[in-house]
Amino acid sequence: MNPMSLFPEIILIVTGLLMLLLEAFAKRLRPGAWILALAGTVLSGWAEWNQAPGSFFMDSIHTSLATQGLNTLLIAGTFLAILFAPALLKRDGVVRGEFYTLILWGTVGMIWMVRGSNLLSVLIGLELLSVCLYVLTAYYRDTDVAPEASLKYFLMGAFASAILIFGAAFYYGLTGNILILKIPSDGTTFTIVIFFLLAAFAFKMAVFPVHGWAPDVYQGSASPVTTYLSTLPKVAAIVVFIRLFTLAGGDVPIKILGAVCILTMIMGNLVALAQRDVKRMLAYSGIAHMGYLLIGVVAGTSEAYTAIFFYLPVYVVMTLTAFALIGFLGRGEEEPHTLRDFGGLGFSRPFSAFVLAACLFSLTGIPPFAGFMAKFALFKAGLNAHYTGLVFIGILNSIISIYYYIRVVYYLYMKSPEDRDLPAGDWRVGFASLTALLFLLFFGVFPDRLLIMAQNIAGTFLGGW
Amino acid sequence: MIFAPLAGAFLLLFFPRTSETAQRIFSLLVSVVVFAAGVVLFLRFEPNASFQFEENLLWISKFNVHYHLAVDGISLLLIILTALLLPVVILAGWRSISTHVRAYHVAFLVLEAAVIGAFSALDLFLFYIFWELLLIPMYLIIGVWGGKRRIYAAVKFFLFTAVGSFLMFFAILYLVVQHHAATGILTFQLADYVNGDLPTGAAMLCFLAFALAFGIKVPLVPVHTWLPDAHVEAPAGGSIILAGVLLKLGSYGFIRFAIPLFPRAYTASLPWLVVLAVVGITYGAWVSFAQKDVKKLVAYSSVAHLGFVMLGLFAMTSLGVTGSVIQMVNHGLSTGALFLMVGFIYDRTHTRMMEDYGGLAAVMPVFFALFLLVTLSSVGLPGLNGFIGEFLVLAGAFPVFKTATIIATSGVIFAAVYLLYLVRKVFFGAVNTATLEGLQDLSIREIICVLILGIFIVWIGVYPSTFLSRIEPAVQEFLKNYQLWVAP
Repeated sequence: MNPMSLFPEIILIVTGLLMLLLEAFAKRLRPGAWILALAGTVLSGWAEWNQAPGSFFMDSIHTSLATQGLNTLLIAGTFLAILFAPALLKRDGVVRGEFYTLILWGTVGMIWMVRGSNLLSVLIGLELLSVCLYVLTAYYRDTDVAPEASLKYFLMGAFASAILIFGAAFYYGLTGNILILKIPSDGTTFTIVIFFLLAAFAFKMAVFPVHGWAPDVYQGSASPVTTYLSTLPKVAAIVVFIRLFTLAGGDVPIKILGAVCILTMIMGNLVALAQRDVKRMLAYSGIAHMGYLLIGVVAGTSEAYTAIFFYLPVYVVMTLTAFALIGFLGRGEEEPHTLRDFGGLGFSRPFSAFVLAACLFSLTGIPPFAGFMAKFALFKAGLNAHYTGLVFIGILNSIISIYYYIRVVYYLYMKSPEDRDLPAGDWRVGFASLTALLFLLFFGVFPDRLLIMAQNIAGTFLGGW
Repeated sequence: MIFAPLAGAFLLLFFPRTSETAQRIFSLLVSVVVFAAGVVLFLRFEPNASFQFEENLLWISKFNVHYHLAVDGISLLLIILTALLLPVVILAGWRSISTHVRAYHVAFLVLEAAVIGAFSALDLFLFYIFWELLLIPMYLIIGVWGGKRRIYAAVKFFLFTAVGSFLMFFAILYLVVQHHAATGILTFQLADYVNGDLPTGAAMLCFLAFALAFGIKVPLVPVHTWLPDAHVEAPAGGSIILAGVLLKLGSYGFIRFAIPLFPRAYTASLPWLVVLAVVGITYGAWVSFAQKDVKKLVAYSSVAHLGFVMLGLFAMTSLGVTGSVIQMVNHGLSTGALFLMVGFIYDRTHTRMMEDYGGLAAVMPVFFALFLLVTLSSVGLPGLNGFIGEFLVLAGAFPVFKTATIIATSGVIFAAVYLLYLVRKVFFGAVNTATLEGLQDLSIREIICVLILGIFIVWIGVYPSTFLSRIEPAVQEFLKNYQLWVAP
């Protein structure tokens, strides 16, 4: 029993509560709410980084280098998402404090998913996250699409949670305990249990064949929400997914996952080709990227985990920034974000357009951006583990993806501008974009430090936690 | 030399948007400084040693990637060609580029850095980074400042090149991983992979991946189709760099990477490659003759000229390879100059159709004189650079592939036919329209542009030893190694 071990979560929860109180009693302070939210994430990130490793609350949660690193990533991602949000919320006239409360509490849920060492705490984390996301998705309740997206997400998400609970109950009934690491790797029954559990997290990662909700939900929810929704929950889910997958023994699960991986890549990329709405296209690109990551999971070597933990922060930064800038440069949340809207913005909004283009090139995997290094590390790990075919399909898919990513770039730079109002500049968006650009460039050219960190995380991760 | 243009591009970003003249002057200064550095490099280069001015730093320790640069006689000339063409490009766009001036120059400076980097990299990873890095600026140059169908051309360029290079990337990865598994050493240094002992099938596939990437850049028939579009739609400066330098990256890639890495696979596929080169020569020539668009004609003539470059290379004789390298430089000068001058005339009349011209010799005598010089160099008139290159290539290739060389020689004749046809259409005959009558002759700036290239055209034509003496030792060594690799 050590309450100190919950410090990061407590800070986030208290910050969220404070904001609800402010919202109720000091409405004048609304426009500054984001500062408080940022302060909360900074404090919490600092607390997370300074935690002592160990196991707490009767093995409910765990702290290790791996959880610290991943949670810091989640908190940092939250920071970036919050930094992008106020300009968009202000533009759309929905500045309310509870937006940040929901985001912060959702992050608490994700932290629990990463730290949870028994199925119950993981489940609680997942549910806390999901409830926050359902509400966030419908946050722009006056638009037509948001409530629809939220309902879709809720129905599908509830179903996925039910599967998870079913798997957990099955396991408890068989063995009388709920500790994740105690799940034995042999026996058909346990393989089935693990499949139930995996399916639930695969849903949150939006991999084939449980990806169907993602495009609708990403497109329907407002951009400041999509930034958060499309990146961080995937990180938390894939961490739990990997943890469970390493428990499943034998060849069969690997073969099945290999097939899922191939189908996810191909489906994501081919369907993305056909999209006219940029947000929807990016949703499919996100699916494709999860496919690339699964190559690493299939390979399963420590090199592959290093690559995955390098890929995750890069994926978060590039996708989050791309969604945020598309929201920022688009016409507003009522309208679809068609390619046409982005015509000529490269010269009328040079900086944000350039950062958006950089994110897209990075997603394609073109140097000198970090996306290239991430893909390189991942494919190399795949080849080293003798999954040549899988990596080759990954490369072919990257080739397909070039087309739809650079299509946005040519609208930005080569088409004549549409007759429309330009977004007003905003220093918070500018600062966040600059941070993202520097991140992508720096780790694209000097990836060593992040790689070493990823390697340490992979080391502790494989060593149990 | 790599960092100077990059730093220049970065500083240029801080110039105020309206100070266009200042931006132009600054970029010109940067490119001239880079060229001066190139000249110093050339003078301090020792003709008989192999790789020089080596820089080898550990870059990414996790992957053991090195920042490894060095030049030999082959890359030296191509680097200097790049540095020479850039000031010309900036001067050429002085008046004709009036939109987004700052971005235009930033793109060109970044491009220059990437190209020089690619020509001097001796680490597979580093080479790939530079190779890909030049895609983005070139894509933007064609797409933003190009002609009517620029977006189509830009996307086609990007897709063709990227498909090739992603497959090459896969081959590099495969090589590295195999090597790592076999020896336990993780390395990306080119020297560690030369004539590696891959199984024949795998080596063949990897060679094909490299050959595809480089073949698309060269371009070899049948993957040349992006070239006419890209050339026609690109702004004059873009065409000059594209023809002058980017295409050379393909043939250079064969010499530096594809052949040393997989000499046996290369020898096995040699007959096919020779056929492709000869088809390129004749097909390029025929199609050029059929063109009505001046720029397209020059673009297809590029396909034919690069066919000569490849033929000389494939001959693998000392004469042939030397000729091939000097022909790379020649093509950069002559075709670059042709595109430059077509750009000048297009700026005045806004048409590229041959039928819209006629009788220009009387209206623009200076232009006519310079154009004739450049055309004749491209045709291969003795005394000018084209002759040296083509002669060496044909002389070097003849002992090895007799039939192919005879067919290729017909390409020289065709080149004379279609280029002189072009000259006749544009410069002789009656002045058809009133617009043509009122045309101004070249300005001082334009004359300087052409003369910079013209000096080298004559220099190589009259006294090629200055350059040949630098190339030959490198070629000798290349061939000597090749003989060792393929020896049973």
